[in-house]
Amino acid sequence: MASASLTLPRSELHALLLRAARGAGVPQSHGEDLARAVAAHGGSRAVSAACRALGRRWRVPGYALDGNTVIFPRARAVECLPVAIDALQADVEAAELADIDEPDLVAPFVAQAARVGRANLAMRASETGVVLEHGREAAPAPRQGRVEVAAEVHDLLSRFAARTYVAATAASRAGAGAGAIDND
Amino acid sequence: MKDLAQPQALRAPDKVMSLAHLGAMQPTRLSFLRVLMRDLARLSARVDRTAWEMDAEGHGYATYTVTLGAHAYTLVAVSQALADADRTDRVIATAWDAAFVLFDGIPNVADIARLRETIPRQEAARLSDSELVLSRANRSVRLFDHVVEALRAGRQPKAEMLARTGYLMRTTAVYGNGKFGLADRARIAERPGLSGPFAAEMLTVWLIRGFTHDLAEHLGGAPLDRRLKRMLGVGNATGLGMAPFLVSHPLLLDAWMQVRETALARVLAQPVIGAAEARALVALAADAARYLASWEVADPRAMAEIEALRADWAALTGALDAAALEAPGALMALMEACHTPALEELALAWLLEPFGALVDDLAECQASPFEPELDARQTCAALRAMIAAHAPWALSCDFDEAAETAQFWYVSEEKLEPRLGARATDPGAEKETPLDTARQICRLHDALPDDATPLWRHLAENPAHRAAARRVQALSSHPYAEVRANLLHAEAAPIHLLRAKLSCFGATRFDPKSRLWTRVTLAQGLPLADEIGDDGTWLPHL
Repeated sequence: MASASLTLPRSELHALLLRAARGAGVPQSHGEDLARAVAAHGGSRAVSAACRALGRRWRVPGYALDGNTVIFPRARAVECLPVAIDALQADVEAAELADIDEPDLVAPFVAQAARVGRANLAMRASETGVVLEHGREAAPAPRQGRVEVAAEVHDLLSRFAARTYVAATAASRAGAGAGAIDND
Repeated sequence: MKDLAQPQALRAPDKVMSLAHLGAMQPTRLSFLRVLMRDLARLSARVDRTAWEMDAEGHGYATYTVTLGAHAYTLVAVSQALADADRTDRVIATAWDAAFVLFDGIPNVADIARLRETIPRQEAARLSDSELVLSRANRSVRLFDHVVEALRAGRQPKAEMLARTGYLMRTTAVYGNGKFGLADRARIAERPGLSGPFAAEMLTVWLIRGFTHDLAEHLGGAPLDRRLKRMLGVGNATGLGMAPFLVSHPLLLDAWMQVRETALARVLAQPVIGAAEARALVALAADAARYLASWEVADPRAMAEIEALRADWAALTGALDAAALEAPGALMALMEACHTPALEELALAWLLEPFGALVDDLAECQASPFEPELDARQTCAALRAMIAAHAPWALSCDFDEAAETAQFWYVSEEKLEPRLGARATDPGAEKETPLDTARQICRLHDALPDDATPLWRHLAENPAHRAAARRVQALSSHPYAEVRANLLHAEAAPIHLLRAKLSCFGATRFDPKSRLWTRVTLAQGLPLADEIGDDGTWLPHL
């Protein structure tokens, strides 16, 4: 039996991913990059991949330089893809994402990097994972239409996002503005 | 995209983006509502009231269809009974006098039935790709009742009373761009008349205004005088929910401000101005004086500021002579004579007003889908130098001082709205929303080595600083992208951010109720649905 799902506007998906990433402890810019890439270029698989990735405790990614290649061992997509694209935009010729945990996130990040003019990258499979290198791919347009998100994925992302919410108090309500009754 | 090349130096971002200046902004002819009015005229838009199913109590529904180019849009309005005890401007309310949606196209019977059931629930509803904007409004009870009673008695309502309040109903939220399932802005971003920022939301507000007139006339059983109707806009109560937007959309903020500043620079760069424009400026100065004279608010501090502005405006423009304005450098001299942020921002708006042919094309540049992007090719030393050059306003903060971090922004789990807490006393600081741009820039600066280390390598090991790095980099080409203040400071009042954003919308009659929220009037003085053709009145007054 197919599980239930929701169809989200891409801007709503962006807002949800942004909050979920922050709730999952992802640094601000990495969360922003994830939300932008998946909301603009991802589909259901990428959203599910993002959700799984956010379930893993954030850590600063380790990497090694081998000549002009930067290698991320046991690469976690949310941690490594922003760094790999930064490196490729700078002076690195290739980035190897070894044993990458969520390969479905690579294409959205690559598409977004091209769209915003940071780097035109090609990706190929390697023996150990995925390699990004400079290419000539045209910048893709953002995908249109809503994204179908499995209910359990939406629920989990919402729970990550909820970690950033603060319980309301009488004092906080009083400070937010307007009166309890406005019959003027 | 139009050429934003500056004819002369723009005003300094340190000044323009200070809270003092942002909190003194006034609507201009480039404000979104005014731009919308010109677009409606350019597109020969036509509004038809396509349904009016209201009972004697004014409860029921109505639809208004407007055609813009090849597209039709329909406002669906649902009016219902609301107990006085439930009438609150707070976003946490759950019932309103009226609820609205802007439908993409012409709704069929099934659509109407669905929306009548759905939209009164507002945030609790789930909208579809066919709906563009969701809103709700409450009656301004005293004025609404006065208007209805006057019409029932066979007379027109008192003009002074209308002008003082300025609206029959007050919206408490106007949602768009994917919220609660609404269509993404991308769906309409390229369409005629709706490509500007918040254009669909402004169209909705303008259509709501017409509905409020019709509802009062329906209940009063007689038509309102056209001149009075034009003076009735739509109220809006705005709280903290609007403030973080300016921080989270830095390049959009820059676009709005660059357009405004470029327009001023174009006006001031004219060697001389014509006699017609000079006469218009004199007349507009008098209009502004009348507007200021009619602008009354309850808050003593805000009222004192308005009174000071009245006096300053009189001193600046009271003895204006049209012939003198034609002299070379006259307009620049007027700007230079402005000695307060409030006077300077009003003068800016005034000076743009007669020069539509010179500045209106800039409105096309007010939309920006872009975000700051990292240039990873930089060295750490280069970024340090950039911070020193573009963000001294951030470096001047001493974050060891408790006052600098006395406030924190957070998201309340109740309706997921932004709130502001006191760090020393309120819970939740550990879940702080990252609106601390100044603090982030300081931390970035402190952590950056002053050497040739590639920036990407530093940020790979210090990812918490990457967001600030790209925001600082953006400042070199987008100097108005940041509010140049520490929003965590004890004295940083969100009301300034609300004033700035609402001015860009075209709001008038700012009526701050605290440092956290304000009431304003939207669409007052704009053409009615059957008057499309002009772009309305800059600062409306009787």
